[in-house]
Amino acid sequence: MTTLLTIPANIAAIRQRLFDLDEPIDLTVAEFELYMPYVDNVYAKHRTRTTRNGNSIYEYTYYDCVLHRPTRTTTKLSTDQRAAKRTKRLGSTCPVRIKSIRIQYSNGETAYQISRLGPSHTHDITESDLIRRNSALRGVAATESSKGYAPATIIGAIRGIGQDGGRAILEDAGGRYLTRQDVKNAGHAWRTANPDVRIAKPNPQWQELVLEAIETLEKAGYEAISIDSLDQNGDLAMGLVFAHPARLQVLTRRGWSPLPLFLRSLTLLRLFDAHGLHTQNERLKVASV
Amino acid sequence: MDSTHKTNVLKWPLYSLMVRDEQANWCPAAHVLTSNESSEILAAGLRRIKQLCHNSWNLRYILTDDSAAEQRAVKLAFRGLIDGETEVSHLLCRVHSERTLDRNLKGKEYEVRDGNG
Repeated sequence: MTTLLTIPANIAAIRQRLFDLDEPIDLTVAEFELYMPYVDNVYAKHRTRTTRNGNSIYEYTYYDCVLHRPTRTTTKLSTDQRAAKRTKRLGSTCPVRIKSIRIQYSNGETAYQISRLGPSHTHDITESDLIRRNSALRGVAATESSKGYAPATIIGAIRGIGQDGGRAILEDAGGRYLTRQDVKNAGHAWRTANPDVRIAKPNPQWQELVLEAIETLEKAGYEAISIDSLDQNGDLAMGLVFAHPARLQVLTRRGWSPLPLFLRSLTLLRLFDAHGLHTQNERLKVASV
Repeated sequence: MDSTHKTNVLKWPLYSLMVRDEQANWCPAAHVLTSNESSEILAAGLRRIKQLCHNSWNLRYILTDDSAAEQRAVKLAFRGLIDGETEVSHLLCRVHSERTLDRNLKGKEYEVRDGNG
């Protein structure tokens, strides 16, 4: 499994610089594509416009700080009607808006220029990391999910368990608050596209499995039958019933007389049966009472 | 009757029906492997076990944990007088009974404390 070894070594400083944006930053396309995924949890895209100056194309993209969004007040359900409790984040607490200009020069070269509009953040980058996980980390989680690893395994590897300073690297990359649920959510798209074959649904694989199971059980002397049923949601559920005929006879007994405690103890010690006082026939006789 | 997890590669629950014999030993009598824990599929399994017993399985008592699906499945499979059968009494296991009593009835001042408190 890959870990976070591909994270740029100076990512903490770069993230902080892109967060503060005290002065405009010029980036190449490669740098922009490498670093922006690590700070996209801080900003949310607001609008884009494109202009042309001579033969150069300027693509302006404006981003708001995620805490810039106003508090959402429109709700369809009141709090007590909701199945799950929700927390509402107080909005409009950070005024930061940034501008990214993608300049495509006439000679074919492309560059990025990023600058901040207005005052600086009212919070630190850790608070942004708490609110949202960046797409670089989500990308790592999604890639590992696509390899079939379990979320718990992935989060362990991302946190660098067993590696020196693994957790510190993760925090530098904005993953201080990365949880297993985040990993699970990141892998959701892949899991939807590649559903688990073990989840029950009408598929030929189950039919093959059940036939094989019935054959094996019948060879061992069991009675085995496949079953299916629609549940209350209309979903198909399947199953397999199997039992040994000798054991099924136990179910059809019409009551039995429990042995007195001292006899039961003797039987458990095999003393009772050893003297032939309690044979199988007698047991059945007792059982049929 | 109770279900066990992690018994198979499919990760489906495996229900086992245990019967106590006169030696007070619990014997596994039948098993139902189901794709989920819905009461409908379990009821279908119980009905099929009844058929395997040539409809001579006259259930009188059943003991399960506090699972609503299992309790409903028994009601669906053994309808009692409607089908001309004995009414089934459903028993809950002691652990779950105590847990339910604790949850619903216990007051703070009546909590059992260790020692002389």
